[in-house]
Amino acid sequence: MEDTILSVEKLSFRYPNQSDYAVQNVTFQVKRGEWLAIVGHNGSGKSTIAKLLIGLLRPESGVIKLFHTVLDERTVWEIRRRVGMVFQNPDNQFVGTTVEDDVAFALENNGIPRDEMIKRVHEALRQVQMEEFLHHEPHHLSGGQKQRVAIAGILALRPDLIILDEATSMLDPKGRQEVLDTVRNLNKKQRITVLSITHDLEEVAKADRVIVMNKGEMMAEGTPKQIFALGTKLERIGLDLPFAVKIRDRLKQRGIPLSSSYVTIEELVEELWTLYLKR
Amino acid sequence: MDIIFEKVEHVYNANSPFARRALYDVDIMIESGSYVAVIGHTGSGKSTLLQHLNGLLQPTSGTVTVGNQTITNKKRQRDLKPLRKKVGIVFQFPEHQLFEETVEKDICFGPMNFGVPEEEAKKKARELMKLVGLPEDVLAKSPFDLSGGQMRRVAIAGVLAMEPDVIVLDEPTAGLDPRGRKEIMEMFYRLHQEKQLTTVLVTHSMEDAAAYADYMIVMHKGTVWKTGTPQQIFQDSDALAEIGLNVPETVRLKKELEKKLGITVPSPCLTIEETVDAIQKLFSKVNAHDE
Repeated sequence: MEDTILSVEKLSFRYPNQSDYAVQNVTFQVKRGEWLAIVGHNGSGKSTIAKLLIGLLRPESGVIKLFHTVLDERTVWEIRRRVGMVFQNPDNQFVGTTVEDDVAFALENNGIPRDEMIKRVHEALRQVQMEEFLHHEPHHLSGGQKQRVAIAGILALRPDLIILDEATSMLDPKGRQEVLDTVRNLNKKQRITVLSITHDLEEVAKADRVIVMNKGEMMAEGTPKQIFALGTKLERIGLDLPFAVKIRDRLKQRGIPLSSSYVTIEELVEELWTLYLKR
Repeated sequence: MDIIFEKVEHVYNANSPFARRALYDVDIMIESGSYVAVIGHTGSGKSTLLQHLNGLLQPTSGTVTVGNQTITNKKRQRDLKPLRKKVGIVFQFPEHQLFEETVEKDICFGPMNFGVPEEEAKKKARELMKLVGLPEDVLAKSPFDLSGGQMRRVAIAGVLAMEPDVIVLDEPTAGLDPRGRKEIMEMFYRLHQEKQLTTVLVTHSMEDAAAYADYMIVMHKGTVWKTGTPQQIFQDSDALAEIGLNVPETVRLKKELEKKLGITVPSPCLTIEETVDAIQKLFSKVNAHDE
């Protein structure tokens, strides 16, 4: 039996003094070990969902269950111990005076013994390739380095669920790749469940399953391939198709007979090669 | 107004046990009216570099020349004020710097600090609304009631209100969704063309660098690794990969195609349009040849 780690039922939320719902009637589940991506334009409600999930905001209606426990005022603290959240801007999540202290902060709070703490701090920093910065001051690091340290702080706690709220949007392409590879690794090897909130459809391609949000409501749900098949529908709601799909669609418009499914650059080159040889 | 860096070095916390050299041996030239992209891996010194452009940081050795102003480590901070007016910096997440009660007051704050009369500053604020693509009624609102994308436009208007000759953009689209990203980049390109605004773009997006810049500066470990046109810079994807950078996806596709098909694609493929054109040509050429 597959274990449902997170279940959201008919969730609705409005910000104070707003008549429009930021999140309206949203229902979904996440299974243990799964990577679910929630994608949408700015203001589509995706970040509001993240805040609702860790109890930073309280729903107007609907039920959130994490690890089979209903999220409410009594359970929120216990639930938060098992959920790690990485926010977009790393400057707002630093407490330690050195990288080492910062990663150790939450471990200390949770009463982890010192020897174990040292081991986990090193291990977590190694996973995000920031081990050589152990004694640096966080505010002297660049944006991408800070974010990797913030992720290490969460990895050290070995959470059951990691929520990435636009967490890679400030990293350079290689840094982003490293972080996503790290997360994928944790997801596959340690079965840590991942919920990534993003507007980057390249990042979406790495997920097992995707939810598309538009104006507070769920517009679509499916595998990345199914989602990318929506094509221009995604562009119309302010999202960007993966590069190879964009090129493929434009070439098709100009009469080059390519297939319709989601493609990577490699697959596109393969297809073009076949067509080229046939001529 | 040309910008010239000569042997610029910057050491943070110099003469202390925490000293850290962030820049060294930086020699660059940014021509007046050009659009220059600065790229480099996280921590390569890009942000330190850009803070030298308007004297927020002074070189610990070497010289920065902006127009007729020279900045060295000897210069007093107060003499740098005129420079701040000429060089506007749009920092990452500029909306975090909004503070006034209304959008109008926020935009007028800079010019009025430099002695522009209130009426004139307000008139300027109204013009700027159009320029950054916001409706005029936003002026009366609190900046904190706006959406993220609108706040960013207001912050950008605040920088433009100083009528700078040079605008420096540090990852100006970070955190925006794809549509917002495109709109902001197009807006800066329009400003660059219409006002001959010298534009310095610090970015992680090779696609933006390829699409907009005339000239590129590649930073690596605190110094200049290479300079050239986007076409020159993106020629050698292996060398770029070694310092942790990619080529734009269009160039990657071109290279993969060339390898697989055993041909040479003459177009530099710096934008999607160029790439689609180049691929289409490939097929029509074959047709012509067959006939």
